[in-house]
Amino acid sequence: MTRRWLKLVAALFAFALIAAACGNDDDDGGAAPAPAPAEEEAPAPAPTEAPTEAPAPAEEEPMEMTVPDNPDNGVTSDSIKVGWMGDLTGPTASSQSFNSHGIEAYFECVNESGGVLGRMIDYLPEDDQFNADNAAINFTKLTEDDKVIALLGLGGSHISTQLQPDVEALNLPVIGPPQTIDIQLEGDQYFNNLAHYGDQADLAAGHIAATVGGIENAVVMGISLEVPSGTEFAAYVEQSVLKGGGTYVNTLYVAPGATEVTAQMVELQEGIDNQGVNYVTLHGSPGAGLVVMQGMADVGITDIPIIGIHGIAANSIWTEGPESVSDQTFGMHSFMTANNNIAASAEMERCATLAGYDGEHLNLNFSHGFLNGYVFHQAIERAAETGELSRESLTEALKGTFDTMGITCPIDWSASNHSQCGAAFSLDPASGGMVPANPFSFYADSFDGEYGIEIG
Amino acid sequence: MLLAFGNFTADPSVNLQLLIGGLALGAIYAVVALGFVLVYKSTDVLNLAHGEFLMLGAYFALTFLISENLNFFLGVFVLLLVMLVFGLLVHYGIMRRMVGQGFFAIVLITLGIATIIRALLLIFYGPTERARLDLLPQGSFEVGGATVRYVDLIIFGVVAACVLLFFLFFKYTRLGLHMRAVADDIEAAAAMGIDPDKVYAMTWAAAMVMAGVGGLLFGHVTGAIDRSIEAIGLRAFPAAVVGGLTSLGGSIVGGLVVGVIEQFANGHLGTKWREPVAFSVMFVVLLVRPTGLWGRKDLERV
Repeated sequence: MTRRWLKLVAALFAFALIAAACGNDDDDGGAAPAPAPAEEEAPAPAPTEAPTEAPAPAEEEPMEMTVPDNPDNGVTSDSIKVGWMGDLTGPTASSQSFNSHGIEAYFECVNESGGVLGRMIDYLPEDDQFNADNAAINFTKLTEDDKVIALLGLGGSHISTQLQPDVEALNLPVIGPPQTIDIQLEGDQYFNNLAHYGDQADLAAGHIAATVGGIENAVVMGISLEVPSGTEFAAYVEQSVLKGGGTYVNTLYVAPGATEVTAQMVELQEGIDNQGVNYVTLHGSPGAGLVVMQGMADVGITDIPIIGIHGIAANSIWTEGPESVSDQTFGMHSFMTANNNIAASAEMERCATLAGYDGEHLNLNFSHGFLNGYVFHQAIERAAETGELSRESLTEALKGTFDTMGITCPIDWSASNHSQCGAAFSLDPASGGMVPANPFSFYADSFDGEYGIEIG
Repeated sequence: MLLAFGNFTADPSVNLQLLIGGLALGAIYAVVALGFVLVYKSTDVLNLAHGEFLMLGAYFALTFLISENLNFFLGVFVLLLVMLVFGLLVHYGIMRRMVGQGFFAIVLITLGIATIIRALLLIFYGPTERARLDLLPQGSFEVGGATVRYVDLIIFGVVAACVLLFFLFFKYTRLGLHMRAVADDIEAAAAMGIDPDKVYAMTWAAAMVMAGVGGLLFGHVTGAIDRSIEAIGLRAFPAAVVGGLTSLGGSIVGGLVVGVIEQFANGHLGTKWREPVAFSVMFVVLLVRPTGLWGRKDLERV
């Protein structure tokens, strides 16, 4: 009798797993956003910068240059080891995993075409689940066991802050972390290409001003996750709005993991009714953003536009969120997806497919990762010109200008280690990718270059 | 009108909205608490994986009702059937071997099950969040300036029906009687010819079906369906404790009380007070009445 039960259970369990797996393949909300048939669709509107004619990774000429091995810095006779630290399975995985996939896709293409400097790139991503303790262990593994030459990304502002002294002590270059915070601007080892929170706040103010006919007409309420970066972003937004003569009413905080926001919506409605709030800024992950947007739709607040930080600029905000709210929602980011007819478009799509990430070339975080791989590729060749490949020579090589294949603004890290570049994005339903409301150049004048906000 | 203390406002429509929001949240807590109670009442196991069970229910609802686009009633039937099978699998595959083991060992096993469920969902569904379900009526109406969603009323109705159903089941059915007997004294029950193994299997199956119902309902009101919704298990825990871990009716009252208190704390004191206040209520209840407001007080021979 018991055996019969067990057989029945096993069979039904298998059925359930298969059903679950099939469900994932069929809809568009899984690990990859719905891929647009790129060859058949017309390019998305609003290409924002003139496409540059940078060489695609697979078309690189084989390098003649040779450099000696440096196993203490991850350079062996047949490979160059480079690491990535971030959240692949934790609460921010829906953003950060795309970043890692973009890097992996770029290196797949590089390795397919013979590698770089006669070596394959050995990409070593480590998952910390957004947990600082896990990150510390991963950091030790990557730097002491694998001895990587650089990190491409270092997810989580709390993790960046915690590891800052070690990064500096090891002279370990960190290229393109998925957040830019004050402590990274102070250090010598971070090379940031995502707009700093202060820059994103300036950009938000610029976008709001363009929407409401001048920042002085803006009455803004912020909604932030109750985490340090949420407070920081809200403070920067308040500063930017007030500086332009607008009104900043208040910041509403949402607990991480909240599944409903009734109380916050009550206060938002009061702000609209009594203080004339006409714009909302939003800080958080895509999941948190969807909770807020659903909350707004539930109580009928559908006529207030939203501008969110880069975490909100995720395809799922528009594909999974309530249309009545997402129609007026934008998320700030610093990179272009492949649907924008940039020089990298074809390679991004090809490499995504090669790496098994079909359709992810339409995600902004994938673009960020792909760019990080490309910048690393350029920097490693430049460093090799010194005759040695080491963390120090790579750090020095990064202090220069880099081609971006149109993915972001031209990078110049010779004077500073960050890049003021960004635009407000939303989803283009036709291509399934993200498109900017205005070109990067439209927002260039918004950045005031002031960092280090005082949080009261 | 804002007063000095926190965000306190005396506006009746604001407070009515918080009350309605609290009752809606409380109904969800009641669904989850019911799952805690069902297992604890019958097996003495504190199942800390119940939030994950509910999340599994929400994801399976997505698969059968949205991806596979099954007819609503057929989809719900398949969902509950699969959940039932998972319940049996949990018992026969894992929990059966833990009978007679220490309390904390079993609690740790439930935490292990929770971890496995989270990992499986990540593998099969990926990290990207999904839109919430919209199969139940989505509209709302206004009462005294506050918005009441139809879906919240449906959840109230379903929770009340479930409590009534389980009450009748425990009181009037043979299996329910067996469950109570095994919970009271497993050795005496076995001596009377009751098979505790079968009773436990049925309990886990029923709890998993309840989690399926909870996942289906919660999937309609959460902002997004992703792996963070498992936190509802922890957040509903005070509701189960306040109501009494052995009381079906207590779970619904505990859920509503905690939901309303949490919502008012959030609205008037700020979001950071939400969980501290909810857990404080739990501590106070435990100090004053360790079995919860409606929990059973066991007599033990000293």
